[in-house]
Amino acid sequence: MMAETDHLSLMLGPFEDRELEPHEYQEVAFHLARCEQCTAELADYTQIGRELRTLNLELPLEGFKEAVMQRIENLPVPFTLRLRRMFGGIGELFPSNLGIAVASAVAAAITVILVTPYAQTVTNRSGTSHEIARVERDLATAPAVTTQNARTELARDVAQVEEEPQAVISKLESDIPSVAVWNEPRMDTTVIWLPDQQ
Amino acid sequence: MRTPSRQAGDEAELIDRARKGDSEAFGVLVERYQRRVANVAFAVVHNQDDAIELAQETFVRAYENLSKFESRSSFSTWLYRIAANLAIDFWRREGRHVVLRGEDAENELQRLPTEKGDSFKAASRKELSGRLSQALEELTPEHRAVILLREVEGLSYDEISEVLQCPRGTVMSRLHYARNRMRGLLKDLGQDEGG
Amino acid sequence: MLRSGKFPLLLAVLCALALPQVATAQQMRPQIVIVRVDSVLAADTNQGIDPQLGPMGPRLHKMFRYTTYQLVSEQNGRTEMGKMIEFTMPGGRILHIEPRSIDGNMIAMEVLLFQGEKPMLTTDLKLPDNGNLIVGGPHYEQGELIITIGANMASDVASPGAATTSAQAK
Repeated sequence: MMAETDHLSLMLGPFEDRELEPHEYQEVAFHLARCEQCTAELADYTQIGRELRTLNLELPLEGFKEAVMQRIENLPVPFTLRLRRMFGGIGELFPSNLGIAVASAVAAAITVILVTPYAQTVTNRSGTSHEIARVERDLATAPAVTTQNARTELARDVAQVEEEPQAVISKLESDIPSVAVWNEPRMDTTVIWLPDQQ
Repeated sequence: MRTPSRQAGDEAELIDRARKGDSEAFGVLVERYQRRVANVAFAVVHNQDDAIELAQETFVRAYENLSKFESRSSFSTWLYRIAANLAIDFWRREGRHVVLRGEDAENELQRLPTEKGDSFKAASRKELSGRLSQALEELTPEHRAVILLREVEGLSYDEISEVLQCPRGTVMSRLHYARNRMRGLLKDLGQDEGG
Repeated sequence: MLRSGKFPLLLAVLCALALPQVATAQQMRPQIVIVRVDSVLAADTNQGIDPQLGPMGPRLHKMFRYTTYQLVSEQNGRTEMGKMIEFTMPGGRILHIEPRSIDGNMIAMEVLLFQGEKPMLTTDLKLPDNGNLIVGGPHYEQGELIITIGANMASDVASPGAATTSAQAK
């Protein structure tokens, strides 16, 4: 009975709000006829709703629209809209196909100007290949790395990664003398502990 | 005569014009929805000045993001969603509960409708309204939003779900919780005052 | 048809006008940072872990070994790079967080915790995007306060629902 009442209690609000499935209305109505507790609960919900509606304040909105439009007026005009207006103005002077040609030429010019620094880097590829050849030569003359050294190096790298802090603290000031700082890498967390001085 | 379908057609045209930079068209939309948007914001923050400021911000954001509005949801629901999100963010950021006390409470209560004639009834209504306001303050913004969107704005569960971007089941459980909580709080407040 | 002489000039003028606007448009959109601050009461009162804490509850228990963890408040805020955001903390404390810059996937920020007018803690740190910082230890009610701070970069500046920070930004 308690479980049934709890379950139906959840349906009282939707019953009042007309948000139940058709078959559920009958179930709730039948229960309400037998349960004073739920009937009282529903009556309270109805009363609360009624009172909330009378509580509704009339917000003073004089000048609201003007304030909004003023804020919109002060917004920066989006670049695309500015472009559209610019070419729209030009389009009025010339035939539309010429306007499209002009727009395409401008886009091409902008692309060339922006890409040119990177194009120059690509054409200097011969410098990179000289660098690679030098590094390979250096590696060939380097001393041989033994297995033992490699294992030691790897162990050191792993330890370093595990100790790597989640946050990097560059400054920490506190009047509390016993401040503690530590990392919890498995929790992706850094902790600063400031015990109160009692 | 302006039928709902005709209004929807007008609205689509206004939105389209606003997208192309026609601020006058957007102004018509502001006039149409300003009160409801402000009420949605007020439902969450429960402060008049903040609600008006948030409502203005809602329309500015909507104007900036008109290109992102898709007509599969209604424009009004989209606006309410922006307003609710802004209001909830604002309330959380403030990190405080705004409880009406002293002069603010007195000013707010005086604005409420009172029944003429019977001074005893007027006093009871004033007390009840004060308790309701106080009980609403005790709710979290999400719970306050669902109960006010349902009871005052009359939105359906599906509309509330869309505004608050949560499943319909969550709307139902929050509403159930909010109503129960209000019920309990009003009883407690009534006992405190009655002695 | 246009005289051929004027056409290249028009093209050059259009390019010159368009390019600065691209840079300006990019500069005008500040990076938004979303900050999450949760306050948790940790105590040895054997009341268990508050379910509202979600997965954070067991994690805190592994780190600190108190017998009670109770969520006191949960706050979110959005701010811009270079603008401070303020959170009210339990026990009359105030938390100031100011994101300063982005360094790879790390967010550099300043964090100050005040007890009244006095700063208990001032720290400059870099937090990974979606990483967490815990500031704990101040006495609160029957236990200690644990403040978890998380930050991540917002992907869409202009998304609806991004609250302004004009009321708090300083």
